[in-house]
Amino acid sequence: MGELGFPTLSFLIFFPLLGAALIFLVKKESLAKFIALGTTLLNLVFGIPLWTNFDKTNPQFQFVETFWWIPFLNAYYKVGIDGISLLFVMLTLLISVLCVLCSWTAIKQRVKEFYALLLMMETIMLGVFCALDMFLFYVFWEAMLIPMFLLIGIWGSHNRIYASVKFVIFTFAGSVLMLIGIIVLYYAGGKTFDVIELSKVQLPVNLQYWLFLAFFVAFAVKVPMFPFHTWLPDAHTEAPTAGSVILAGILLKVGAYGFLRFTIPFCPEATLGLKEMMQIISVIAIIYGALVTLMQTDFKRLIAYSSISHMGFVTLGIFTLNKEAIEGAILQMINHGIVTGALFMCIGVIYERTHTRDLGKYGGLGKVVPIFVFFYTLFSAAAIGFPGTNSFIGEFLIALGVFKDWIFLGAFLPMGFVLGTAYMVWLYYRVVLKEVPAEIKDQLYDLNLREVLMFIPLVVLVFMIGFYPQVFLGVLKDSVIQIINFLT
Amino acid sequence: MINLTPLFPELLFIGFTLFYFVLGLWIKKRVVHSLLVIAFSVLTLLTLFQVQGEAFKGMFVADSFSQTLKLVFLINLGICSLLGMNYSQIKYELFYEFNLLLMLSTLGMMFMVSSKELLSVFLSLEFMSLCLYLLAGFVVTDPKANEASLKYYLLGSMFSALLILGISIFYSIFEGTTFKIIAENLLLISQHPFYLFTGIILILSAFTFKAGLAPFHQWSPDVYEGAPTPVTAFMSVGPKVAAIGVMASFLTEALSQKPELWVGPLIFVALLTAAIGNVLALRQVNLKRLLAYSSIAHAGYLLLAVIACSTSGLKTISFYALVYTFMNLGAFATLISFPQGERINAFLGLSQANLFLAVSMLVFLFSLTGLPPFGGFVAKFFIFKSIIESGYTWVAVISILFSILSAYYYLRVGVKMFFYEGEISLPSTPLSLRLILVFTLSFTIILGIFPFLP
Repeated sequence: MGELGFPTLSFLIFFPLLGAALIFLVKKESLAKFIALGTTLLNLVFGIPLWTNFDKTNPQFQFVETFWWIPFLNAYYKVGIDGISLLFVMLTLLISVLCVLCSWTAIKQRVKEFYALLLMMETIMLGVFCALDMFLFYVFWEAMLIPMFLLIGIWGSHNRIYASVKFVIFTFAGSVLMLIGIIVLYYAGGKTFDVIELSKVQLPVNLQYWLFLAFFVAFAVKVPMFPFHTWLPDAHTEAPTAGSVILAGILLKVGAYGFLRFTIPFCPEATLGLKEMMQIISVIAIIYGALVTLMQTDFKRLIAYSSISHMGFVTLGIFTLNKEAIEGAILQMINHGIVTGALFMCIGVIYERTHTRDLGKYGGLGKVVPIFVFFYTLFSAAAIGFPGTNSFIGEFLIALGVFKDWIFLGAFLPMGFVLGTAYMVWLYYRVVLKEVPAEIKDQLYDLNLREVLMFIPLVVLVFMIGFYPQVFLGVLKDSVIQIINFLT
Repeated sequence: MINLTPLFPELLFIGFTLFYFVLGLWIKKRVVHSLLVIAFSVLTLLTLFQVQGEAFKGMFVADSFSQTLKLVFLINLGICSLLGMNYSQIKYELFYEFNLLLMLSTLGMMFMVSSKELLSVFLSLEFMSLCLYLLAGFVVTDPKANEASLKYYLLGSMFSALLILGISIFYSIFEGTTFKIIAENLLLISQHPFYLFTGIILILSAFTFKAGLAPFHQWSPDVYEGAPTPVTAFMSVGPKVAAIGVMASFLTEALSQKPELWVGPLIFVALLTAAIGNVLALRQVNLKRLLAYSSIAHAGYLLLAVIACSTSGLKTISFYALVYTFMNLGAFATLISFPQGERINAFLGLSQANLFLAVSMLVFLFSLTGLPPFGGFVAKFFIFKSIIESGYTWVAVISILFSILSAYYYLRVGVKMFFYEGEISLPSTPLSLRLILVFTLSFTIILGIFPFLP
């Protein structure tokens, strides 16, 4: 049972499934989106006690629930959260509501299935962040593929089939080796899947390297890190807006979360041994990602490629392995979820009006749709890492950690910042400034109340983290120290 | 007085078969035929787990491994009889013979997995196979079915001859054919080990043929494609599981003290099978043939569990067999409920025409791929776990890499059903097929979320 005398986490995890079932039970198709909105909103409200009752001074896992599951396998249904998972759980709850809102008018066919899959996706994502049993974790991790495959494949744009199959094959190929890793870990760690027990086990260094490799492939594909990133632009570009928001907001974080939760505690020596290599790969991702982003002419693809660069900062922070950098990396994951999610929503909103993503056909939006441009400007600034916005704090902390750790590598970071500014500003110029092309001028109209409402929570978060990050860093602090303690 | 209690389920089933043999001639309605067969299987099922022990001086043993496999055969029988009822190409007046052959073949399989003696294994194997040869060519007017039947019969007879040759070599070495005698004398034999090795290879190649494992798998795609779909469904589960089951008990009981003689060849066969099954399935355009290749690949995974050579290995096999029965028969049931043809391209846009059919097919395909939360995932997990437990991590790594290929060809079918627009007008699915789909679907999911071993 959780601390609240009620299986809080399990309820949160499985409540969306009830909503999904309800969608199929109710005959009327037009009610589906209202049910989905109600379910996600309620779930967000249910999540509030989690935030208020979370004990920041306690570095252990909280709200832990354990049930017997598969006795002869010694696998439990065990969920619980620490400061890191708490942030991701809250992010997932919020993003899910926004996903329903941003699909409100965009999804016109097979509406019931769409919202049911969105709700299933919420269950699975929450499960991934709460699971404290490797077997349970793997079940959620792999189950994620199924709804995502369908979301991209059915409601995506014209090249959707290629993108969805590529997405599944890449992630499946990455994660099967993790399965072997989990089984090897099970025997090496005394026949248990319990994450807390396993992280206490001191494994032989040789085995640690193999395990690191097995987990690395799975997580690196999800993040995605540099050589494994090719599925991302296709999947992000072809997915419907809600799919892109989920991908950018949550799915990419799962990989980085895996590094923090599993790789570092299970294989500390291997992590220290491979640290420099990981850092170098991350810096390559930052610079390479930014350069490729500069080349893009497709609005959505551009933002998709920018994710590679942004996630490079995250993995760089994680593998710098000191307190500032890891805190920065986690904060940056949240920031990227908020900002890139918001940018995809911006694209979704504007695509619904113009039906084109070709940047050559855009321009001068500032004169036609000022409210839209107001939000878009804010989020662009946040993506650049403008002081006062959330990304500034995250990137600053990462840079601080890197300079403390390896000043030579730190010298490459300004290049990443400059390139990041360059592509966002150039994009801004192409979309907002210039003259309005005639063919899109008539189609454009400004945001309605629903669209404004879905941007507002994100704007609040951007500035809240930007001006007072302590709210989030305070939650994180002890959990991060806990992770660093594994390394010594 | 011989104690016949362990044989009770089989004796009961023989009784039912004879009863049906006589009575079935007067039954006109197809439904009654199928219902009778299902009732027989259910009644036998109920007695199955009540008895345990050995008879005929240990030549016949009913243990939990063989009981679970018999459960698989009886489920297979019931479902395939219902499938046959919905298959228009099986002639109305021949349905009685169809059911009878299914029952007799099932009887052969039941005896096969309980035999702990090579000659009884041979007899029951022949008993099973003769019925299957007939079943494969059951649609007499179809030249493809005739070809399938003849091919299966000729090759099958040859491999039976090899089996009997192997058994005679064993007899000449051990002066006995029970697993017990072989195990007791295995370390004492004076003959050259090569002699024994030849015997092992001959016997194993016969089992390999029956299970459709590489390198003796070539017959199976042709036969599976040519045979009527319900028979294909029946063959893809029952005989395969029976052959692998008997192989497992032969190796782990008779030859467990000299694993160096058979583990190497077995790993080779299993990996080759997984490779061939998965690679050749990639280019198939006919769904039935694709399922045939995928069942070859699955037999490869089943075989991998044999090398674990322990009780956990046997449990793994029975669990995998059980899950495989549900998901594979489910996939065949979907195929039969879809009269437009067997080509994958015929499935374009199925999800709009009949969402239930499309979703259940998708679940079976994902389960066959081994994605959670479906049974196929847990079954594969157990297999890899028992391989790693016995120290062959590299084998697990190679075989899991092949399963990535399988994701591609299963997904292709899903893509056709869900992501394309098509114009399919489906007649409403008959009640019996819907029942089968619900039954197999629920067990595929339940075994994935709450895996339990009977």
